[in-house]
Amino acid sequence: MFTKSENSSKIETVIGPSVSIDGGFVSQGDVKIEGSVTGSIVTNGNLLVGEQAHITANIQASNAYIAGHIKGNLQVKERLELAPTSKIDGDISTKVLIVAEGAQVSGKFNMGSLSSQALANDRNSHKKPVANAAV
Amino acid sequence: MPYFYLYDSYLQDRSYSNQLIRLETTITDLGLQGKVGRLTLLKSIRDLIENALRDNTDTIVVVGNDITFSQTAEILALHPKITLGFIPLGPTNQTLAYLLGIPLGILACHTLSSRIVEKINLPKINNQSFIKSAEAQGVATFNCENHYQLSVSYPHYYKICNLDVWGESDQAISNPKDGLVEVVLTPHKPKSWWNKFKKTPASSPTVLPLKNVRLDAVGDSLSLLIDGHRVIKTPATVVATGDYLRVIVGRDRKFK
Repeated sequence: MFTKSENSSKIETVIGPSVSIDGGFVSQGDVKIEGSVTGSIVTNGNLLVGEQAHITANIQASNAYIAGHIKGNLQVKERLELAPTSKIDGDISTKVLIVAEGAQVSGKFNMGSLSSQALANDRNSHKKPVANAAV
Repeated sequence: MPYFYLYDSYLQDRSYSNQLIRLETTITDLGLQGKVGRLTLLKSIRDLIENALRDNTDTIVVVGNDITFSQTAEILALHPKITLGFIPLGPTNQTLAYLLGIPLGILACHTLSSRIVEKINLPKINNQSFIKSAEAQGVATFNCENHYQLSVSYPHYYKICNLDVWGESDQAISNPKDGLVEVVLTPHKPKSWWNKFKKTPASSPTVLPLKNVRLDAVGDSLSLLIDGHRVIKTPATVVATGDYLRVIVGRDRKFK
């Protein structure tokens, strides 16, 4: 999912465990986060959140694999995978969800094909709330 | 297609004389002959290039190393129609030759002859063009794309790459055609007896492809080494402008 060989035109961003980011982080390619982020994260590519990561931000991504701690809402266009070490305090909106044993979630789930439409709407208008049928 | 060959001053050393004779013979055999300018204490790169441009040269070939090439690239930033070739001679400072896919020594003449031309980005640091990278170390903050701030709590080694390597893997190479610079932060813990007992975080680097980044030192200003030959102090603003340089590259170049 995050190798250049699969799609060499994509740009890979890595946020290592020794750095912290504050503000609106935007990327066009795949993103791997192992450090701390406060603010918001928006990427058109895949998102990987490592075990050591601490994120206090709303997140938008195409696909995501989460193994760290997130405080904020997650909007994933296609597929979201939660690892056993993941801990999420916030609402989740995705089309496909895979939850491993041990993953912790405190929040609402919003699933199905409509969620991707909601994601697109939300990108166009930040004022418009995500209003889909909750599962 | 008038060529101009720019020889670095270190090639005046006797140890290079045989290589230069063979090089000039090969250039003539391939029909790539042109005027030769030799750098000396009294002749600067700028003077030699400006004279060559007055003679309607359209291809300048650097015979030297990374530093000669980057100094020439900085001057040619104002002349995007000129094509830059490279014949790397000498054992040190030859990273650019590897990245551009140009073999060392006389074999580079065949790369010149093949004439595959790529447009290489020329970003600016504090309004001065650079081709390879800028390096610094210490504690700094980065204001990225005017959207977010990146900070570290202890010293890091920083490398802002346009056409350079930052690690040993094949993927640790910046793409000089993507219109971005790669900002790489590698943790750098000073060696001390205390650090032997302290739990240190993993040393995996941070890599951010960016168009616009401002580097500010925390505390005393930091020195940034640009392209291995020029030093500036922080604060420094790096912008990936739309400027480019036409460079003759080899088939084995490390970017597409």
